[in-house]
Amino acid sequence: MKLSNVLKAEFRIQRKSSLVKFILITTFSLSILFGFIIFHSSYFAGPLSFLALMKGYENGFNFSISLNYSIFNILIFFIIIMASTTVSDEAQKGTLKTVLVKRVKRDEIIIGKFLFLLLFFFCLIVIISLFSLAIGGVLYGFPNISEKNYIIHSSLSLFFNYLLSLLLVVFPISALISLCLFFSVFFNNNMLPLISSLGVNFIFYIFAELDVYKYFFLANYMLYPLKTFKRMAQGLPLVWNPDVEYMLLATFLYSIGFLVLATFFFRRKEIL
Amino acid sequence: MKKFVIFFAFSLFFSFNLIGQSSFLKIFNRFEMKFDHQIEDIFFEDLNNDNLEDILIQTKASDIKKLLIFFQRKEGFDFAPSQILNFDKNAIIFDVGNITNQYQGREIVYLTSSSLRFYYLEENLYNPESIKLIDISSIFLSPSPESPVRCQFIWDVNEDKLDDLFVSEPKNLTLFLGEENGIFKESQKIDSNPFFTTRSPFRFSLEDSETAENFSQKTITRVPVLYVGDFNGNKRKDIISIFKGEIEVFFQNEKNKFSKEPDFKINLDILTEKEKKKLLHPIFTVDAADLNNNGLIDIVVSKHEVQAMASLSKIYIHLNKKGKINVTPDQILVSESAQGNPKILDINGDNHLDLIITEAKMGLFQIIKILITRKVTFENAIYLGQGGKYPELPAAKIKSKMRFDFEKLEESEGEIAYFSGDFSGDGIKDILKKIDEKNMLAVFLGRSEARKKMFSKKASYEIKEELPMIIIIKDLNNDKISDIIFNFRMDEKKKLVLFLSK
Repeated sequence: MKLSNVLKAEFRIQRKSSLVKFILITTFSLSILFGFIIFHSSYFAGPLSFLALMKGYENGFNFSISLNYSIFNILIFFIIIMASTTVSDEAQKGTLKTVLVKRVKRDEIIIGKFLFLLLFFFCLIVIISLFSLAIGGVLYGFPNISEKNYIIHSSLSLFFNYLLSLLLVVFPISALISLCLFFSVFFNNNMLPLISSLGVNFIFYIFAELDVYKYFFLANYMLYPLKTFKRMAQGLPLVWNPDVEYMLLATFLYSIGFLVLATFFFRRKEIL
Repeated sequence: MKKFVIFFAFSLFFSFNLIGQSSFLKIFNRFEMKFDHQIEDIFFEDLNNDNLEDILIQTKASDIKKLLIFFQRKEGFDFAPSQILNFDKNAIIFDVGNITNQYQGREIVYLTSSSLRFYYLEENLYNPESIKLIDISSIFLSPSPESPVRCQFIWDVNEDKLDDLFVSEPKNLTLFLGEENGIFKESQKIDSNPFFTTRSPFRFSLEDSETAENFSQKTITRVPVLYVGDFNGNKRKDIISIFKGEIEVFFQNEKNKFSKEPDFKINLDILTEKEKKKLLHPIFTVDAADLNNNGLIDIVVSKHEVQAMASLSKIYIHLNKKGKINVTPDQILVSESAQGNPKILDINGDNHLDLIITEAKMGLFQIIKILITRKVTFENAIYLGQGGKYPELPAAKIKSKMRFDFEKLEESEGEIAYFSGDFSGDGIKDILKKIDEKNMLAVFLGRSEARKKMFSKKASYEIKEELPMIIIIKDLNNDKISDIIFNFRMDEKKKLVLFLSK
């Protein structure tokens, strides 16, 4: 069976999933709510200013990335929930057994699920980006970030770097999906992989605060691409190097490592 | 055996401490002076023209305005003052300068409500009887009950080796040019707001006789800051007045005259219309310095948001272009944290001025962390300048910490880094760290090699001492190596400790 067929099959399964519907509805509802807050953020005075999600220079890119960044924080939880339960849920319901009967290789099932989740969440982020960019453009336009005729960042450079940050976001997402898939393979019920994934990620977030060891932990890179562009859209200096290299290396190792481990354990998994 | 091990460990520990102390005292001589009253202010001036900086100290004696003078000898300082000068009770502000060649050394000039007077040096001591220089009515209508404030109003503007005097009057600045015989001719009046040549908030007394008889008011006010330097490239010193975002420059012509009206005037419009409407609008400072070493004064503006939760700070660099400053900056440096005023100095000894910006991240989580731990961490970001251009990112970030107690804020402790000292004499600035928790002072030497880190990782010299709140770094003995002064003014202790380089 080809990988594309597995992907199609996975799409058919997930299309009917109530979790996918919940994620889509929640994400789009929150996008509208966050967009409203971000647009009115400058009116929150004094102590409430922490709600001002759009700092710095006002422009369409800043609005869009502020919205995207806020939503992505929520999406991380959805990625964990969906990826850590995707195999265990099917194992619990018994649908995994029927899939395996159709002469599908176990490796293909894991890779198919990985690719589907990666594609699903990447598409979701791209759609939100386009949606927020359109609204941001209407509200603020896309001028150069400048002050007193001094151009800090040109709109062209902002556009290309936004595109780059969206492409780079694939790497931490894939690493997170791999990590959660690995936990999903281990258990036959939904709660344990979910708790394990949330727990491990929580620990990663704590260790990512440590200056010396942060480069080893995935949490250090989850928000990195969007955060870097967010700084640029606010008028701050754009700094990709050297952290982008560490991110590419670390997320690649996480993705490959946990995917290989997930397939390795899934091959040996006893499916009842 | 166990006792022997403990004894050995202790001896090793203390011997390491002693090594540290001796290494600090290898390069410094320690002096300690004690006083009857608390120190109010401290100044350093070469009073007797021997290329050694002398010390002038004002103490908080309630009745008399005293000035304690410590003359520096080749061996250092005496423990008792060389002279205690009882200041004229009518003195309001004072400065030190060479206003006449009739007397040895430099004169202590002061302004009363009606005249300019000076004390002069005679046989290595100041004559306690002052001499009147000029009758003048300044903006100070009545004398301050407090000690006279040191305020720079003496400059050699025309560079004839004789200092000139600036006197502030209600609507103008009067410049008196000095002549060899000690006679001052009123040179000219320059239209301006009252000038004060100090950067700190100014204490003075004002008495409005028309509206409030017997009423005196102590005011803290913002006034223009005065700089004297070449602005238009004609190799003559010009007067640069900076008041908020407005810059006025009075050029000096070939006849050493200044025009009444400013020759160059610009409003930098530092606050945007949106920022002006805010309840708490951003704080900004304007500094003047020759950033690119071309002999012309450039302008540095620092602006930061008051809102702690969304702090965004900006530094605007306006380079001088043949006597003109444009509203459009040559560079804007933006950073994400709350900042202090930038320190402008040449850190790496390349004759180009660098910027040190103290930054503190102030997000919601940071504020919660500060409230729980009672500890604030600052970062001193060093931006190395090259021809007036600064990189977007700092070359180094040096951390400083401050631990505070809500009930006793004045007793806050921390780890503060000072950057203005050169303790090795190589022209590269070194870091002096004041570590309150350990009562330790440590010197980290600066490095010139680009590949290595900017400062040594381990302290080159350190000493354990009772530390003050204020440390002053200055080359007092003119040997190109910085000396350290412990100013216990804020600590309410009646002493002064000096570390003079050997």
